[in-house]
Amino acid sequence: MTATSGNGICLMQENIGYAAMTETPCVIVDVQRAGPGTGIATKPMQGDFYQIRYGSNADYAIIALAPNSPQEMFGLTIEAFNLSETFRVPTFILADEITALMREKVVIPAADEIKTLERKRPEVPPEKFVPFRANSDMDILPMPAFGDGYAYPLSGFTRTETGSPTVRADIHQNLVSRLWNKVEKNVDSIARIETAFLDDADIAVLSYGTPARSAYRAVLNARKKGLRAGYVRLITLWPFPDRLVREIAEDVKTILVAEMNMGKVVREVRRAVEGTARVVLHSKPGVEAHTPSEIEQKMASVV
Amino acid sequence: MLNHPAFKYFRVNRPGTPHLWCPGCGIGQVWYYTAKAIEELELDTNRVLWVGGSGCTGRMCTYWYKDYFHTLHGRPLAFATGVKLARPELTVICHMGDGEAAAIGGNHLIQTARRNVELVAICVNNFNYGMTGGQFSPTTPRGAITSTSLFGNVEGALDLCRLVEACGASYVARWTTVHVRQTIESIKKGIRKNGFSFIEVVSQCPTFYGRRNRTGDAVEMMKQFRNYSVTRDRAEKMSQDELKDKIVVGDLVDRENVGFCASLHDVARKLSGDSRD
Repeated sequence: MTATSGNGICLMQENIGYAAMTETPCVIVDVQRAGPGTGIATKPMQGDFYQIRYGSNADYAIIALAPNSPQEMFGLTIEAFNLSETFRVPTFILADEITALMREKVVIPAADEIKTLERKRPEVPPEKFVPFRANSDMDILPMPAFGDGYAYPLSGFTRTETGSPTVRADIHQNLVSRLWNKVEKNVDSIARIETAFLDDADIAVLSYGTPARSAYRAVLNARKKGLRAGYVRLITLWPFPDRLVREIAEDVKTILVAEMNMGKVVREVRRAVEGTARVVLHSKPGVEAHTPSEIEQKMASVV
Repeated sequence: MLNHPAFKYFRVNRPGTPHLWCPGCGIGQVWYYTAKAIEELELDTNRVLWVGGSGCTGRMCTYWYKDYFHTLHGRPLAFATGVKLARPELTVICHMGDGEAAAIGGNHLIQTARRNVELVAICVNNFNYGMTGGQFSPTTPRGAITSTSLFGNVEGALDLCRLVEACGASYVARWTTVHVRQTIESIKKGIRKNGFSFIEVVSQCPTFYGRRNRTGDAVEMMKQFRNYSVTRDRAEKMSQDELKDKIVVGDLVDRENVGFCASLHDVARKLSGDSRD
């Protein structure tokens, strides 16, 4: 596990691609700060949503979780390790400066109550081990440790079943597809969202991280004034929960996306809902989070 | 090839076999010297990890028949440090070219030497980036012709051994591809050392560096290495003028400094309340 913020996530991109290609489990905490460049290094923004997904060269997949409280910083980090080990992918905790520096009560369960998962290890003896033989287009392969006698040929190269570098198109295409599919095709078992007040909602506010705290308060206040408002918080950002968002869109007229940037999650929401609901952006590009009253006013103006 | 004494350690039955290096290249020699050192020390090869990055030398690890870790350009020492921390019982040997070790990986080299990580780093220095067409590197001598210094290199060369010595490495040696037995003995010494061991092996790149600088073929280049090499003891009695263009060879540093893994694990043991040695 490593943690970074601001420009640090730029510097890590080469290694993130390498981790994706070598299918090395790792957890990266990115506390988003105001940029671009050095920006304001002590203030929040939500600018890295696409960078953590697409920041290294070529195609691969990652998993990203978005906490909005100190309790979730703890709990989702454990979940991130488990997902990373299960799927052998870089897994991100995408937080922002406000949540990361927040002080709140955190309940830490007893060690034996915490479920931990580990990567699959080879089940055959070394002489029968074929390091990169995939049984399907979304297979997750066993990973031995160095020194276990498996002669593990670990490399960032496109490789054959036995680990030799290769330039064959079919092998490369199968490998890249599998790196993508093993996460994206498992979206239903990975992706989680939190919802409230959606049963009768005309408008749903969708956000993640710190703005979701303001959004929740805004929804409560708006409902007191008779607005049929609902609340959606993304806990999993990547793989993007297309189906869950689409299902919400079918029941509301408008989705208001509140995020601390010029509009990133909103693009994924528009893609996922495929025109079934009107999608409006409530942008605030960093330094301070949306206030509940700002979100409430925006809801009232677009509903 | 089949009868070569290194063959039993070489990954075979792969595309690109026997290997990708040009005729006359010195990297194959260093590959053999490394395998020979492991053999003579009678190490369990399941416990020997070869690490590399990019470039001609970076590919060396991908032919080792046991565990290998082929990493990013310039960064093999950082990856190697991670493995060594997780599995201190492994012998970790890292091969780098001069471009990798001195340019993009320069800071990794400095920090790994400063920490005195219990690794063996072998730098095959052939004075240019061979794989990409012979561009100048930080070890290219001033005035030398390369594909990016057609009118003579305007930069001075970095002495990697002196850099690593200043950073605090336990063991530093320099040889050339001509020094077969000496290089093997140095690698053995490096493997046994409880600290960072850095061995520079000056090597020939007849395809690019040799051709552009009209040094003759690989054999001619190796003859020049022999003629230009002076031992450390002799070099100490020579003036700066006399040492110009010379390659100072031998054990340059051999000292006992505390290693990184040893001191880190020591702290970890103390924190966990384990007072055993």
